[in-house]
Amino acid sequence: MKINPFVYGILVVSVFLGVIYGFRAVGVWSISGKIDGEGKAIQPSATDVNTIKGWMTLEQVSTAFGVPVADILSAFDLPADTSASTPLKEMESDTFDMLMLREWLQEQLQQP
Amino acid sequence: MTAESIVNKNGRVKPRVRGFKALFTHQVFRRLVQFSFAAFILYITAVHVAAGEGSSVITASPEAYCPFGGLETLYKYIASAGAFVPHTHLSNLVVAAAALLTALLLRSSFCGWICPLGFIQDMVSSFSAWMQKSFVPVRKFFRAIAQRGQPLWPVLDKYLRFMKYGVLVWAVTGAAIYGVMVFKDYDPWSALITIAEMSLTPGLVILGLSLVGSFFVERPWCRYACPLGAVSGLVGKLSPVYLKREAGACTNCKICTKACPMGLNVHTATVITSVDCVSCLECVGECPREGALEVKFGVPLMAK
Repeated sequence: MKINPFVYGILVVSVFLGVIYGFRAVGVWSISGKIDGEGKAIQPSATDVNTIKGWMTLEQVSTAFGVPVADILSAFDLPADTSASTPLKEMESDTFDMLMLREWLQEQLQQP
Repeated sequence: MTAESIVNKNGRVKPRVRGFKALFTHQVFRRLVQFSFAAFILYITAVHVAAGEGSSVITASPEAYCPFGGLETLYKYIASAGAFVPHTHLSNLVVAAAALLTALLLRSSFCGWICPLGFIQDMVSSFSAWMQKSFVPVRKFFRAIAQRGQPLWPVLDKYLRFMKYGVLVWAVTGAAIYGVMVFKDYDPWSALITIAEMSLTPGLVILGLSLVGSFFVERPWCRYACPLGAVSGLVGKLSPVYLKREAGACTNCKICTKACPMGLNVHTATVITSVDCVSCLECVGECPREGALEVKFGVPLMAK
Protein backbone atom coordinates (compact mmCIF):
# COMPACT_ATOMS: atom_id res chain seq x y z
CA MET A 1 0.00 0.00 0.00
CA LYS A 2 1.38 3.40 -1.02
CA ILE A 3 1.71 6.18 1.58
CA ASN A 4 1.62 9.81 0.51
CA PRO A 5 4.80 11.58 1.79
CA PHE A 6 2.67 14.34 3.35
CA VAL A 7 0.62 11.74 5.25
CA TYR A 8 3.88 10.08 6.29
CA GLY A 9 5.13 13.36 7.79
CA ILE A 10 1.85 13.91 9.62
CA LEU A 11 2.06 10.35 10.98
CA VAL A 12 5.62 10.93 12.24
CA VAL A 13 4.64 14.06 14.15
CA SER A 14 1.39 12.50 15.42
CA VAL A 15 3.03 9.32 16.75
CA PHE A 16 5.91 11.19 18.38
CA LEU A 17 3.82 13.87 20.06
CA GLY A 18 0.99 11.41 20.71
CA VAL A 19 3.23 9.20 22.87
CA ILE A 20 4.57 12.20 24.81
CA TYR A 21 1.15 13.73 25.45
CA GLY A 22 -0.26 10.29 26.24
CA PHE A 23 2.28 9.79 29.02
CA ARG A 24 1.75 13.35 30.24
CA ALA A 25 -2.01 12.79 30.35
CA VAL A 26 -1.57 9.89 32.79
CA GLY A 27 0.95 11.79 34.93
CA VAL A 28 4.11 10.04 33.75
CA TRP A 29 6.18 13.16 33.17
CA SER A 30 8.74 15.21 35.06
CA ILE A 31 11.19 17.69 33.57
CA SER A 32 13.28 18.42 36.63
CA GLY A 33 14.98 16.61 39.46
CA LYS A 34 13.75 19.41 41.72
CA ILE A 35 10.15 18.16 41.68
CA ASP A 36 8.62 14.71 41.70
CA GLY A 37 5.94 13.39 39.35
CA GLU A 38 3.24 15.11 41.39
CA GLY A 39 5.02 18.48 41.28
CA LYS A 40 6.19 18.37 44.92
CA ALA A 41 9.65 19.81 45.69
CA ILE A 42 12.33 17.17 46.28
CA GLN A 43 14.37 17.49 49.48
CA PRO A 44 17.54 15.64 50.46
CA SER A 45 16.87 12.55 52.57
CA ALA A 46 18.56 12.58 55.99
CA THR A 47 19.53 8.94 55.59
CA ASP A 48 20.84 8.88 52.04
CA VAL A 49 23.70 11.16 50.95
CA ASN A 50 23.07 10.19 47.31
CA THR A 51 19.89 12.27 47.35
CA ILE A 52 22.01 15.43 47.54
CA LYS A 53 22.01 17.23 44.19
CA GLY A 54 24.13 20.09 42.88
CA TRP A 55 21.18 22.49 42.70
CA MET A 56 20.46 22.04 46.43
CA THR A 57 21.62 24.80 48.78
CA LEU A 58 23.96 24.58 51.75
CA GLU A 59 20.96 25.36 53.96
CA GLN A 60 18.92 22.42 52.61
CA VAL A 61 21.79 20.01 53.28
CA SER A 62 22.45 21.51 56.69
CA THR A 63 18.78 21.15 57.70
CA ALA A 64 18.34 17.65 56.30
CA PHE A 65 21.48 16.19 57.90
CA GLY A 66 21.54 18.30 61.06
CA VAL A 67 25.03 19.63 60.38
CA PRO A 68 25.69 23.36 60.94
CA VAL A 69 26.56 25.36 57.80
CA ALA A 70 29.72 26.63 59.52
CA ASP A 71 30.93 23.03 60.03
CA ILE A 72 30.51 22.25 56.34
CA LEU A 73 32.35 25.42 55.31
CA SER A 74 35.26 24.82 57.66
CA ALA A 75 35.54 21.12 56.74
CA PHE A 76 36.19 22.08 53.12
CA ASP A 77 38.19 25.30 53.66
CA LEU A 78 35.40 27.36 52.13
CA PRO A 79 35.00 31.09 52.92
CA ALA A 80 33.15 31.52 56.21
CA ASP A 81 30.95 34.24 54.71
CA THR A 82 29.52 31.91 52.02
CA SER A 83 25.76 32.39 51.88
CA ALA A 84 23.68 29.45 53.09
CA SER A 85 21.45 29.88 50.04
CA THR A 86 24.31 29.14 47.62
CA PRO A 87 23.68 26.10 45.39
CA LEU A 88 26.30 23.42 46.04
CA LYS A 89 27.49 23.21 42.45
CA GLU A 90 28.37 26.91 42.48
CA MET A 91 30.78 26.22 45.35
CA GLU A 92 32.79 23.53 43.60
CA SER A 93 36.56 24.03 43.90
CA ASP A 94 39.73 22.00 44.43
CA THR A 95 38.70 21.37 48.02
CA PHE A 96 34.97 20.84 47.52
CA ASP A 97 32.75 18.88 45.17
CA MET A 98 29.61 16.78 45.45
CA LEU A 99 31.49 13.52 45.91
CA MET A 100 33.62 14.94 48.74
CA LEU A 101 30.54 16.35 50.46
CA ARG A 102 28.67 13.03 50.22
CA GLU A 103 31.65 11.11 51.63
CA TRP A 104 32.08 13.61 54.46
CA LEU A 105 28.39 13.56 55.36
CA GLN A 106 28.39 9.75 55.24
CA GLU A 107 31.19 9.79 57.83
CA GLN A 108 29.20 12.25 59.95
CA LEU A 109 26.16 9.96 59.78
CA GLN A 110 28.19 6.97 60.94
CA GLN A 111 29.59 8.79 63.96
CA PRO A 112 27.71 7.99 67.18
CA MET B 1 -12.24 7.21 -20.27
CA THR B 2 -9.49 8.61 -22.49
CA ALA B 3 -6.71 6.48 -23.87
CA GLU B 4 -4.21 8.44 -21.83
CA SER B 5 -5.95 7.77 -18.53
CA ILE B 6 -5.84 4.00 -18.95
CA VAL B 7 -2.13 3.94 -19.73
CA ASN B 8 -0.04 2.91 -16.73
CA LYS B 9 1.29 6.24 -15.52
CA ASN B 10 4.38 4.71 -13.88
CA GLY B 11 7.55 6.07 -15.40
CA ARG B 12 6.02 9.21 -16.82
CA VAL B 13 7.78 12.46 -16.01
CA LYS B 14 6.20 14.13 -13.00
CA PRO B 15 4.50 17.43 -13.80
CA ARG B 16 6.74 20.34 -12.83
CA VAL B 17 5.32 22.48 -10.06
CA ARG B 18 6.29 26.14 -10.09
CA GLY B 19 5.62 29.30 -8.13
CA PHE B 20 3.50 29.34 -5.00
CA LYS B 21 2.41 25.72 -5.45
CA ALA B 22 6.04 24.61 -5.19
CA LEU B 23 5.88 25.48 -1.50
CA PHE B 24 3.35 22.72 -0.92
CA THR B 25 5.80 19.82 -1.14
CA HIS B 26 6.55 17.30 1.57
CA GLN B 27 10.15 18.56 1.57
CA VAL B 28 9.01 22.04 2.59
CA PHE B 29 6.66 20.45 5.12
CA ARG B 30 9.60 18.48 6.56
CA ARG B 31 11.67 21.63 6.91
CA LEU B 32 8.78 23.30 8.75
CA VAL B 33 8.49 20.35 11.13
CA GLN B 34 12.26 20.32 11.74
CA PHE B 35 12.28 24.09 12.26
CA SER B 36 9.37 23.88 14.71
CA PHE B 37 11.10 21.32 16.93
CA ALA B 38 14.41 23.25 16.79
CA ALA B 39 12.58 26.48 17.68
CA PHE B 40 10.87 24.73 20.60
CA ILE B 41 14.23 23.58 21.99
CA LEU B 42 15.68 27.07 21.48
CA TYR B 43 12.72 28.53 23.38
CA ILE B 44 13.13 26.01 26.23
CA THR B 45 16.85 26.82 26.40
CA ALA B 46 16.25 30.59 26.44
CA VAL B 47 13.64 30.31 29.21
CA HIS B 48 15.91 28.04 31.27
CA VAL B 49 18.95 30.31 30.88
CA ALA B 50 16.87 33.42 31.64
CA ALA B 51 15.43 31.84 34.81
CA GLY B 52 18.87 30.81 36.04
CA GLU B 53 19.87 27.82 38.13
CA GLY B 54 18.94 29.36 41.45
CA SER B 55 15.48 30.46 40.34
CA SER B 56 12.48 29.52 42.46
CA VAL B 57 10.58 28.95 39.20
CA ILE B 58 11.33 25.47 37.92
CA THR B 59 12.01 25.48 34.19
CA ALA B 60 12.83 22.55 31.94
CA SER B 61 16.42 22.18 30.85
CA PRO B 62 16.72 21.29 27.14
CA GLU B 63 18.49 18.14 28.38
CA ALA B 64 15.12 17.00 29.75
CA TYR B 65 13.90 16.53 26.17
CA CYS B 66 16.85 14.46 24.95
CA PRO B 67 15.69 10.96 23.94
CA PHE B 68 19.17 9.51 24.27
CA GLY B 69 19.23 10.58 27.92
CA GLY B 70 16.30 8.20 28.36
CA LEU B 71 18.34 5.29 26.99
CA GLU B 72 21.29 6.20 29.20
CA THR B 73 19.18 6.24 32.35
CA LEU B 74 16.97 3.24 31.48
CA TYR B 75 19.13 0.64 33.22
CA LYS B 76 19.39 2.67 36.44
CA TYR B 77 15.66 3.40 36.34
CA ILE B 78 14.86 -0.31 36.19
CA ALA B 79 17.64 -1.57 38.47
CA SER B 80 17.24 1.13 41.16
CA ALA B 81 13.44 1.27 41.27
CA GLY B 82 12.88 4.63 39.64
CA ALA B 83 16.25 6.38 40.20
CA PHE B 84 17.90 8.37 37.42
CA VAL B 85 21.47 9.06 36.40
CA PRO B 86 22.29 12.76 36.99
CA HIS B 87 20.90 15.22 34.42
CA THR B 88 18.07 12.87 33.35
CA HIS B 89 14.42 12.82 34.32
CA LEU B 90 11.20 10.96 33.62
CA SER B 91 10.73 13.17 30.54
CA ASN B 92 13.88 11.65 28.98
CA LEU B 93 12.39 8.17 29.27
CA VAL B 94 9.10 9.35 27.76
CA VAL B 95 10.79 11.12 24.83
CA ALA B 96 12.98 8.03 24.27
CA ALA B 97 9.85 5.86 24.18
CA ALA B 98 8.29 8.29 21.68
CA ALA B 99 11.38 8.22 19.44
CA LEU B 100 11.63 4.42 19.54
CA LEU B 101 7.92 3.85 18.92
CA THR B 102 8.16 6.26 15.99
CA ALA B 103 11.08 4.18 14.70
CA LEU B 104 9.17 0.94 15.21
CA LEU B 105 6.23 2.22 13.17
CA LEU B 106 7.87 4.63 10.73
CA ARG B 107 11.59 3.78 10.61
CA SER B 108 14.21 6.38 11.65
CA SER B 109 11.87 9.24 10.89
CA PHE B 110 12.77 10.92 14.19
CA CYS B 111 16.23 11.56 12.70
CA GLY B 112 14.92 12.88 9.39
CA TRP B 113 11.92 14.88 10.59
CA ILE B 114 12.40 15.87 14.22
CA CYS B 115 16.01 15.83 15.47
CA PRO B 116 17.27 19.45 15.75
CA LEU B 117 20.91 18.39 15.39
CA GLY B 118 20.04 16.67 12.10
CA PHE B 119 18.25 19.85 11.02
CA ILE B 120 21.28 22.03 11.80
CA GLN B 121 23.53 19.71 9.77
CA ASP B 122 20.97 19.81 6.93
CA MET B 123 21.06 23.60 7.00
CA VAL B 124 24.86 23.71 6.86
CA SER B 125 24.87 21.25 3.95
CA SER B 126 22.20 23.28 2.14
CA PHE B 127 24.32 26.40 2.63
CA SER B 128 27.34 24.53 1.28
CA ALA B 129 25.32 23.40 -1.78
CA TRP B 130 24.13 26.98 -2.37
CA MET B 131 27.72 28.27 -2.13
CA GLN B 132 28.91 25.66 -4.61
CA LYS B 133 26.09 26.51 -6.98
CA SER B 134 26.56 30.27 -6.75
CA PHE B 135 30.34 30.70 -6.71
CA VAL B 136 32.59 29.02 -9.26
CA PRO B 137 35.82 29.09 -7.14
CA VAL B 138 33.96 27.44 -4.25
CA ARG B 139 32.57 24.80 -6.60
CA LYS B 140 36.08 24.12 -7.97
CA PHE B 141 37.47 23.85 -4.44
CA PHE B 142 34.87 21.30 -3.38
CA ARG B 143 35.28 19.31 -6.60
CA ALA B 144 39.05 19.21 -6.14
CA ILE B 145 38.63 17.88 -2.61
CA ALA B 146 36.10 15.30 -3.78
CA GLN B 147 38.44 14.12 -6.54
CA ARG B 148 41.41 13.81 -4.21
CA GLY B 149 39.39 11.79 -1.71
CA GLN B 150 37.77 9.60 -4.34
CA PRO B 151 39.79 6.37 -3.98
CA LEU B 152 39.80 6.35 -0.19
CA TRP B 153 36.56 8.04 0.78
CA PRO B 154 33.99 5.34 -0.17
CA VAL B 155 35.94 2.77 1.87
CA LEU B 156 36.27 5.09 4.87
CA ASP B 157 32.59 6.02 4.61
CA LYS B 158 31.60 2.37 4.64
CA TYR B 159 33.56 1.43 7.75
CA LEU B 160 33.12 4.66 9.73
CA ARG B 161 29.36 3.98 9.76
CA PHE B 162 29.95 1.14 12.22
CA MET B 163 31.44 3.56 14.75
CA LYS B 164 27.98 4.68 15.95
CA TYR B 165 27.25 1.18 17.30
CA GLY B 166 30.42 1.37 19.37
CA VAL B 167 29.36 4.79 20.69
CA LEU B 168 25.93 3.35 21.52
CA VAL B 169 27.36 0.41 23.49
CA TRP B 170 29.91 2.61 25.29
CA ALA B 171 27.38 5.30 26.26
CA VAL B 172 24.65 2.93 27.47
CA THR B 173 26.87 0.42 29.27
CA GLY B 174 29.01 3.24 30.72
CA ALA B 175 25.93 4.88 32.22
CA ALA B 176 24.76 1.50 33.55
CA ILE B 177 28.11 0.65 35.17
CA TYR B 178 29.17 4.04 36.52
CA GLY B 179 25.75 5.62 37.11
CA VAL B 180 26.72 8.79 35.25
CA MET B 181 26.45 9.86 31.63
CA VAL B 182 29.92 8.97 30.35
CA PHE B 183 28.88 10.23 26.91
CA LYS B 184 27.78 13.69 28.08
CA ASP B 185 31.16 15.43 27.71
CA TYR B 186 31.50 14.05 24.18
CA ASP B 187 27.92 14.73 23.11
CA PRO B 188 27.70 17.53 20.51
CA TRP B 189 24.01 18.07 21.31
CA SER B 190 24.82 18.58 25.00
CA ALA B 191 27.60 20.98 23.97
CA LEU B 192 25.20 22.94 21.77
CA ILE B 193 22.47 23.42 24.38
CA THR B 194 25.03 24.45 27.00
CA ILE B 195 27.05 26.65 24.65
CA ALA B 196 26.19 29.70 26.76
CA GLU B 197 28.40 28.24 29.52
CA MET B 198 31.41 28.86 27.23
CA SER B 199 33.24 25.74 28.39
CA LEU B 200 35.55 23.91 26.02
CA THR B 201 34.58 20.24 26.10
CA PRO B 202 35.29 17.34 23.71
CA GLY B 203 31.59 17.60 22.78
CA LEU B 204 32.11 21.18 21.58
CA VAL B 205 35.04 20.05 19.43
CA ILE B 206 32.92 17.20 18.01
CA LEU B 207 30.08 19.67 17.36
CA GLY B 208 32.49 21.94 15.50
CA LEU B 209 33.86 19.03 13.48
CA SER B 210 30.32 17.89 12.64
CA LEU B 211 29.28 21.33 11.45
CA VAL B 212 32.45 21.90 9.42
CA GLY B 213 32.15 18.33 8.12
CA SER B 214 28.59 19.08 6.97
CA PHE B 215 30.07 21.39 4.33
CA PHE B 216 31.68 18.36 2.72
CA VAL B 217 29.56 15.33 3.75
CA GLU B 218 25.87 15.53 4.60
CA ARG B 219 24.92 14.63 8.18
CA PRO B 220 28.39 13.40 9.30
CA TRP B 221 27.33 13.04 12.95
CA CYS B 222 24.26 10.98 11.98
CA ARG B 223 26.20 8.78 9.56
CA TYR B 224 29.13 7.91 11.76
CA ALA B 225 28.63 8.56 15.44
CA CYS B 226 25.05 9.22 16.58
CA PRO B 227 24.11 6.50 19.12
CA LEU B 228 20.42 7.43 18.96
CA GLY B 229 20.46 7.04 15.17
CA ALA B 230 22.12 3.64 15.65
CA VAL B 231 19.39 2.30 17.92
CA SER B 232 16.66 4.02 15.92
CA GLY B 233 17.90 2.38 12.71
CA LEU B 234 17.99 -1.06 14.32
CA VAL B 235 14.46 -0.70 15.75
CA GLY B 236 13.29 0.69 12.40
CA LYS B 237 14.21 -2.64 10.79
CA LEU B 238 11.00 -3.99 12.35
CA SER B 239 8.87 -1.23 10.81
CA PRO B 240 6.17 -2.08 8.25
CA VAL B 241 7.14 1.03 6.24
CA TYR B 242 9.76 0.96 3.51
CA LEU B 243 10.81 2.74 0.32
CA LYS B 244 10.36 0.89 -2.97
CA ARG B 245 12.09 1.61 -6.23
CA GLU B 246 10.10 0.38 -9.24
CA ALA B 247 12.77 -0.72 -11.70
CA GLY B 248 10.33 -0.53 -14.64
CA ALA B 249 9.65 3.13 -14.03
CA CYS B 250 13.19 4.09 -13.02
CA THR B 251 15.62 5.53 -15.59
CA ASN B 252 18.71 5.15 -13.36
CA CYS B 253 19.32 8.88 -13.48
CA LYS B 254 20.83 8.69 -9.95
CA ILE B 255 19.03 11.87 -8.84
CA CYS B 256 17.68 9.94 -5.83
CA THR B 257 21.16 8.82 -4.78
CA LYS B 258 22.50 12.37 -5.12
CA ALA B 259 19.59 13.67 -3.03
CA CYS B 260 20.11 11.19 -0.17
CA PRO B 261 21.70 13.02 2.80
CA MET B 262 22.90 9.70 4.23
CA GLY B 263 24.78 8.75 1.05
CA LEU B 264 22.78 5.61 0.29
CA ASN B 265 22.78 4.09 -3.20
CA VAL B 266 19.05 4.43 -3.73
CA HIS B 267 19.19 3.99 -7.53
CA THR B 268 20.53 0.44 -7.31
CA ALA B 269 18.19 -0.85 -4.60
CA THR B 270 14.84 -2.54 -5.05
CA VAL B 271 13.67 -1.75 -1.55
CA ILE B 272 15.37 0.76 0.75
CA THR B 273 15.38 -0.63 4.28
CA SER B 274 18.88 0.44 5.29
CA VAL B 275 19.47 1.13 8.99
CA ASP B 276 21.09 4.39 7.87
CA CYS B 277 17.98 5.70 6.05
CA VAL B 278 16.52 8.63 8.03
CA SER B 279 13.21 8.57 6.09
CA CYS B 280 13.58 12.18 5.00
CA LEU B 281 11.97 11.23 1.66
CA GLU B 282 14.25 13.62 -0.24
CA CYS B 283 14.78 10.85 -2.80
CA VAL B 284 11.02 10.47 -3.33
CA GLY B 285 10.60 14.20 -3.75
CA GLU B 286 13.53 14.59 -6.14
CA CYS B 287 12.68 11.56 -8.31
CA PRO B 288 11.47 12.94 -11.67
CA ARG B 289 9.42 9.83 -12.59
CA GLU B 290 5.91 8.93 -11.50
CA GLY B 291 5.81 5.76 -9.43
CA ALA B 292 9.55 5.08 -9.62
CA LEU B 293 10.14 5.67 -5.91
CA GLU B 294 7.37 5.45 -3.33
CA VAL B 295 6.77 5.00 0.39
CA LYS B 296 5.05 1.68 1.01
CA PHE B 297 3.32 0.00 3.91
CA GLY B 298 3.80 -3.76 4.09
CA VAL B 299 4.79 -6.72 6.22
CA PRO B 300 7.60 -5.95 8.71
CA LEU B 301 10.99 -7.45 7.75
CA MET B 302 9.54 -8.69 4.44
CA ALA B 303 9.38 -5.32 2.64
CA LYS B 304 6.31 -6.58 0.75
